[in-house]
Amino acid sequence: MKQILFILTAIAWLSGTANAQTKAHFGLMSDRDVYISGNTALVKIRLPQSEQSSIAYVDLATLAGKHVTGITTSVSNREASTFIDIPDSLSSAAYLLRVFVNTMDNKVFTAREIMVVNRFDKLNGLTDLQAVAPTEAFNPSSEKIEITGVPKTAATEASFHGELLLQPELLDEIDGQLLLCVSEVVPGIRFNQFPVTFKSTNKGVLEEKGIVLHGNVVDAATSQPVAGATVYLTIPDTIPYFQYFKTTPNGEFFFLLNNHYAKIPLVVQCVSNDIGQSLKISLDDKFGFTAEIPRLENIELPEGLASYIDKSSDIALLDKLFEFQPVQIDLPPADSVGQYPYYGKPTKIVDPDLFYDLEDFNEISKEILPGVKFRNHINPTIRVLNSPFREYFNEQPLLLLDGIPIRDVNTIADMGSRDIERVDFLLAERFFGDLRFPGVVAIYSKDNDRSNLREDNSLLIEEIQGLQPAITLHRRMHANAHLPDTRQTLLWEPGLAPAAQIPFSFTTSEIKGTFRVLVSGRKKSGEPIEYEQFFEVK
Amino acid sequence: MRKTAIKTITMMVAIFGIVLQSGAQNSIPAKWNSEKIRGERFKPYVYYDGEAFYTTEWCSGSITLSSGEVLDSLSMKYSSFEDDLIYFNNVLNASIKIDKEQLNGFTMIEKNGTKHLFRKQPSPRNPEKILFFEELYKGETDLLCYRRVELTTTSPYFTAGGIQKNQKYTPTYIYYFYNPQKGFCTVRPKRASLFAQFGKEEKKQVRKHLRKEHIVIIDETSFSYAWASLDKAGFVPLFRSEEE
Repeated sequence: MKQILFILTAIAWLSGTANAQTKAHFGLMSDRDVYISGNTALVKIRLPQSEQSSIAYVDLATLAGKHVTGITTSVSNREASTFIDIPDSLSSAAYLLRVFVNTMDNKVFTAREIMVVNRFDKLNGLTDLQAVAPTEAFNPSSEKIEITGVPKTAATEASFHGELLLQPELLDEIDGQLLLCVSEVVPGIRFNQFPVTFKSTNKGVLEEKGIVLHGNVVDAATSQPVAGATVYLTIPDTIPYFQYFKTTPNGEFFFLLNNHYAKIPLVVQCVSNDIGQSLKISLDDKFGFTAEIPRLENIELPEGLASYIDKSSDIALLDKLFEFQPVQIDLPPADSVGQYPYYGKPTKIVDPDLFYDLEDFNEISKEILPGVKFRNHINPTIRVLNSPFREYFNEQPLLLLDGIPIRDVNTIADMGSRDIERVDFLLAERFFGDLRFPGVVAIYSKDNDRSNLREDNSLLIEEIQGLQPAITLHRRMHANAHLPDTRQTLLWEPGLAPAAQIPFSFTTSEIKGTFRVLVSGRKKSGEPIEYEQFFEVK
Repeated sequence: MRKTAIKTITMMVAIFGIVLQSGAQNSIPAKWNSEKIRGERFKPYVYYDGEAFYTTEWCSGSITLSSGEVLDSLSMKYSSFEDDLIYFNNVLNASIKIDKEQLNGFTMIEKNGTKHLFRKQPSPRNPEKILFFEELYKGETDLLCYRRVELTTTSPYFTAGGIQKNQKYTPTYIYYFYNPQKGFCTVRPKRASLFAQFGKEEKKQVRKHLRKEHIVIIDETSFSYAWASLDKAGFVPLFRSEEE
């Protein structure tokens, strides 16, 4: 009986441990607490030790949980430093920055409140702010940290060399890297991070290698999942990206996107093995979830806020006028060396502008596309020569318009020299995985107009959020220019390796106000570390 | 009674484990996100005596793509005649010539277990032309072989179908020492050719080393073995090409 009790206790303990692991929280820090609409918020995120995802999402939402905007970032060693552009049109209120990963089951994510003030409306008579009620859940520890070299008051445009001193006991406890941030604050406004639980109907695939697109294909008539249908993914570009997937027995499809940045225009199409079957395709919305609404309370806005907002609005206007970017975006170099289209190296590339004006594709094919036979009858047809075997294919070639596969030849029938930038054509039987192309005709239009594509349930044209590029904060914005230095965030070092003494330096801008030196990190136990010290720039 | 209870609990634990496992799994097919092989249909060569391919039969093997991804369990043949890799696509039932641009190298295993590792490198004579070299030894100085097959003119003969021909596929393999700093240097898999790569004093030591290791150079395999042994012992060839 004792053995039975022991086994039962062990099972209970194991399940408890498993649950505790899944409840380990995420970390989220932003450079400031109050932003003007149109500003860029710098964000540092931390994922729990048990998290395997290499992709994390940060979104901006209203306190009621309505998604406003979001970004996708790659995570290295469970940490990432990224940025989110706050839309210019947001109204003045408190908002939530939320961090999460694609696998949402049983996980507690983290949110952090920020205040956004519309630069045109400003406070608009707002005296109270509806904000999240304080929670004890993420009470950070701040002991054993000291900052030297930063005086209580500082002059504008002055340089400082300081040191961050960490006590040995703390050093052993730190997990990952530290964030050091120096930025302007509004005395009396200080928001904290707190846990939130999300609910999503999405599949929630673990994103170990990159962004995973997931969706479903169903029969348009019966709404039943369709297995074995071919789903094509195209990202139109100079060299278009293409991938395909045969749907699973549940009608699902998955695509991996691991090197795509910023906004990605996507075209997703599906084709049934049964010609008569009409399909309907859908793609998961990464931000399409519901989150619990935090307990709210009214807080009185501090006196200094109005002057801070006036000043920050002027700065935002200046930044817009002179197109200043507080951060430098470091896009990885495009690896186009040796790259060629997925349909192979064209047999010939033809620019119709080099010839006299040709009215439609029938004329173009006859005059300047040797080996391409286009017949504009009631049902137009297109065939290409299988050059190695010296005979024409009996089937329609892979026909692409701006890299997007099209089946309806009518789409290109009226395209003449005025519409076409170039035509790549390939006179051979090509293979891409298990797909076979009886020749290829790829037309690149001058206006990239996708309105010609026949819109139906089996075609999706969307723009999704690719990876956010890496950023570096400008240390001094206009060192050699006769323009004001209006930086409100003076230092953003998100990847400091823990050490007993960490030297740092920064230069104050021309902005006067209260600034904060913030040190943020995480202990191996998961407990957040935060330490802050304030100084006045006069 | 007690035994029954223990059995019940063991079963519960097993079921608990299975449930956890099934929760962790999902319905994504294996290798769903692997890069797709790009290529063109392979047009069979005209029949002549000799062999246009390096191996007479299909070999199993793997390819390393330019992205670094490795795709394995492929049925493949290396065309020595056109320096191309052909693979058989079971789904489409087609022989496909893989785009050279997509490949970094490949490994083929013959039915008798012999393994051949090929890598892509610029041609010694024309750096713009990319060729596949078999890596016979990889070390400080690599020993590579370009498995070239050429159509050569021969005495007229009749094929099994009764057609008269006067050409045949002839292997004209070229062996190279390769070092990233020094580049290529041709060598023949012969004892004399190997010794020609060393100065007078070093030759004695090479001879002594080979004698000590009981290595007699008689063919490509023993030559590779000899070079592997010498390279590991720190011998550096003069990179004196055979043509010089």
